[in-house]
Amino acid sequence: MGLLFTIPLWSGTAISQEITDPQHIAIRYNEKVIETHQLEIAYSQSLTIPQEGWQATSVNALRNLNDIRPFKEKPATVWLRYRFDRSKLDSDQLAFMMDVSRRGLNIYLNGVDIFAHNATINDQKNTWNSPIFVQLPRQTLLAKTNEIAMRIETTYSLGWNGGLVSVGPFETMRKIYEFRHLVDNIGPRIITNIMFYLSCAFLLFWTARRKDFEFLWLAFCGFVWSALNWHLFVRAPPFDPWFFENLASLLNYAFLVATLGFTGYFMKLPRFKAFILAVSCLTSVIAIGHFIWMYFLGDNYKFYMSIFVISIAAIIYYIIECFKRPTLEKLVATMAMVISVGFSFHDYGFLTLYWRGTNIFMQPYGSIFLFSSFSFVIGMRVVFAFNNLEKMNEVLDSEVKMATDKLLILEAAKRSLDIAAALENERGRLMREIHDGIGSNLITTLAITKMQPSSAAVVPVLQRAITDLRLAVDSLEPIEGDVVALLANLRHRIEPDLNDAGLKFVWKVEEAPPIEWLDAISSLHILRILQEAFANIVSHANAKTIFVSCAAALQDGRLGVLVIIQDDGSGLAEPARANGRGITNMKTRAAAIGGALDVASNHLGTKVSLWLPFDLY
Amino acid sequence: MINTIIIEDDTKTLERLHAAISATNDIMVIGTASTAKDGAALIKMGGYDVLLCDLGLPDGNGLDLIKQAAELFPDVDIIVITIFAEQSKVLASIKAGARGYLLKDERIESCAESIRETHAGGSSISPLIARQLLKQLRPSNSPINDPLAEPLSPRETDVLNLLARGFTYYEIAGFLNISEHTIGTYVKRIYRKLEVNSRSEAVFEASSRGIIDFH
Repeated sequence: MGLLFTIPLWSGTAISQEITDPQHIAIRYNEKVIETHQLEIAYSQSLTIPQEGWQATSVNALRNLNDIRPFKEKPATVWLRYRFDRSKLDSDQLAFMMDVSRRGLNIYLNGVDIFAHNATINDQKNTWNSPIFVQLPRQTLLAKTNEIAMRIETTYSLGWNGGLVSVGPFETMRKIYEFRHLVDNIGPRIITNIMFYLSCAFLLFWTARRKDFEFLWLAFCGFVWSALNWHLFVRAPPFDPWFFENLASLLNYAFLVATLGFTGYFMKLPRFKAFILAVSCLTSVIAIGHFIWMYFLGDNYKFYMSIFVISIAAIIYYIIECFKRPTLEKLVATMAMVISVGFSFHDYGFLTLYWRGTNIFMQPYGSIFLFSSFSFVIGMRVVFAFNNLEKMNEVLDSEVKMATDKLLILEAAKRSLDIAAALENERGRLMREIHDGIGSNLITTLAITKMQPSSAAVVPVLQRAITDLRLAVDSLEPIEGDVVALLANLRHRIEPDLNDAGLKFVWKVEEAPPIEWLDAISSLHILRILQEAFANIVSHANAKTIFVSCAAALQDGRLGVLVIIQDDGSGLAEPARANGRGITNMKTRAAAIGGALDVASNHLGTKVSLWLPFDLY
Repeated sequence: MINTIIIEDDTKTLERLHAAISATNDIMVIGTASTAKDGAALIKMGGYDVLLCDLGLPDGNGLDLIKQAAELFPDVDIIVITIFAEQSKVLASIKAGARGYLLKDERIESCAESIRETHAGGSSISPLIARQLLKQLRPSNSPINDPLAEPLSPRETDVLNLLARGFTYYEIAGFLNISEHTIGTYVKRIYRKLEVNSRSEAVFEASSRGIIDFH
């Protein structure tokens, strides 16, 4: 993406072509401007414009004027001059501008000193990458040919940079100057500050999350890139300018390590540690070589070629990784490397005069673009993480709620199980008592009693006691509301005795839906009612057959189970027919459990109907 | 001749059983015990066709003796002696290997009838037991993934349904047009299924808890 805005700006003009047209009239902001590429240079220590020793040179050669590089402590001076035809311009108010300049500079118009860049030769407070803008005094200007001369002087072991030299209408020149000042100086300054503070933030993030090395790498990247951009706009180096300038050169190597470190970590290279270790070692060796070279022989930009070689090798490696298993991170990181290396390469060519390109140093713009992209990606990750966390919290909350509910249910179930177990336990104990104690003894007593004719009256009492005990035990059996089970079991219990008494059953029992409210107490009531009914038949009815039926039935508009016990006996004696003591008892029991009992009797037999509703009121 | 042993701690009951059996020509009591310890020794000796066993022994549980006998001599017919025939006790006995139950009441003298019936291949049942068997042996109730489980056949289900509703063997035989004795053999077969299934359920449960490792 970064490359997209680069292309339209790219002039693509070969430098050699420009030299053939030294006094080019260009239209800038709809005004004519004379742009000069051809100058004359004279190496002279003279304080006034030298008369001789001039030779032709080009603006491009000034971009890195190593000829006047006064190695170490030796100061150096050089003169430049050129002429322009004022009549080719329309305005009276003219200004002079040079794209890039640094170090001590004095400008003369037609031999008159009109501008001094520095107060003294030792005053180095200016950037090397800022344009110069000078108004040309009207009274000093000549009508046709004018000469501009420049005296350049530096005590430091540094080169001097110059750029495109132009003269034009004051307002137009100021616009051009302000644009250049913006893109060369203010832009990198803003970008570098943003990157620096963001890097501080990422470093803080990292201290909070030590496992996320991504933050550390990005912070490192940002710091190195900021440091690298610094020299583009700093007015006064904070320490020795020679060291500062060379440090800026060497920072390119740190830039390489930081960029590969971050992108490699970001794209999760399979052998990241080995990769970054190899890059760091190789780069350190080259950087040390470069430093030694610059210390003894001065800077040499050709060392940067090694950075490009390593970068391109890394890009190829990245692309192979992308093809192996493409991920969004790999594609982003690879693209970032391509853009970064592309911009650096552009700047390298711009710096070493191979091309003019966009005419500005692109690296700060590339770095802020990449840094913003990475910050955005990481920021999005943080946002996703927060969202996930919130979702996770919601999920966890609901899970906790579910688990709690489940636990409550389980606890309730456990409690009821505990109660059931306790009941069962207690019931078991009672049953053992009944079994081994009362039950056994009653049966033995009955057996003994039967053998003694004198105690014959006791036998029925004992038998009834045993039957009652049986009913009580049966009423405790779990039958889940099944009235049929009660009836069936009762038949099973009493049939042998009834058979002995010469009675037989006609059994017409249908399956019936369960009665929810039927508990042990209700069961015992029902069993007693039925037992009473059967006992009445045995003792009073002179019957042969007992008809028992059971089925679901409606009574008074309510659904329930109707049990009918009918005999073919002689019927109840008149007074007992409706309200005998036994029958009243049965009715009371039936009413107590919410049912209804009806007794009908005539000379053909007696009919006892017990109705039990499914739903109690 | 049906050789019988009796394990019963109540001396009166034991006497009555002994007397009732001795009165017959075809059944003989060849051993009695009144404690679990003696009972276990008696069971081990073998040589009997029917075992009458009480559940509540002073020094142990009759269920263990039933289980022991069923494992040692699968062909022995085991009959539980009980006063009330509560379904929980009877079901536990059947699961342990019992094939019938004897009510400890004034009709205990008719025990010879029960012994003969059971030995001939028919078992007695109460409606409540039938109801429980229907619930426990319904095909959908058998444990999943358990190839050992034997569900009820449709005929057995029909018989159990009628039994649970209180019909007698005689009545059911009439409904289904089969002999009364056949109903008894159905019931005995159903008891065996309950025993087998409860054993396989125990195995299934044990294996799913990792107690038994099949590999």
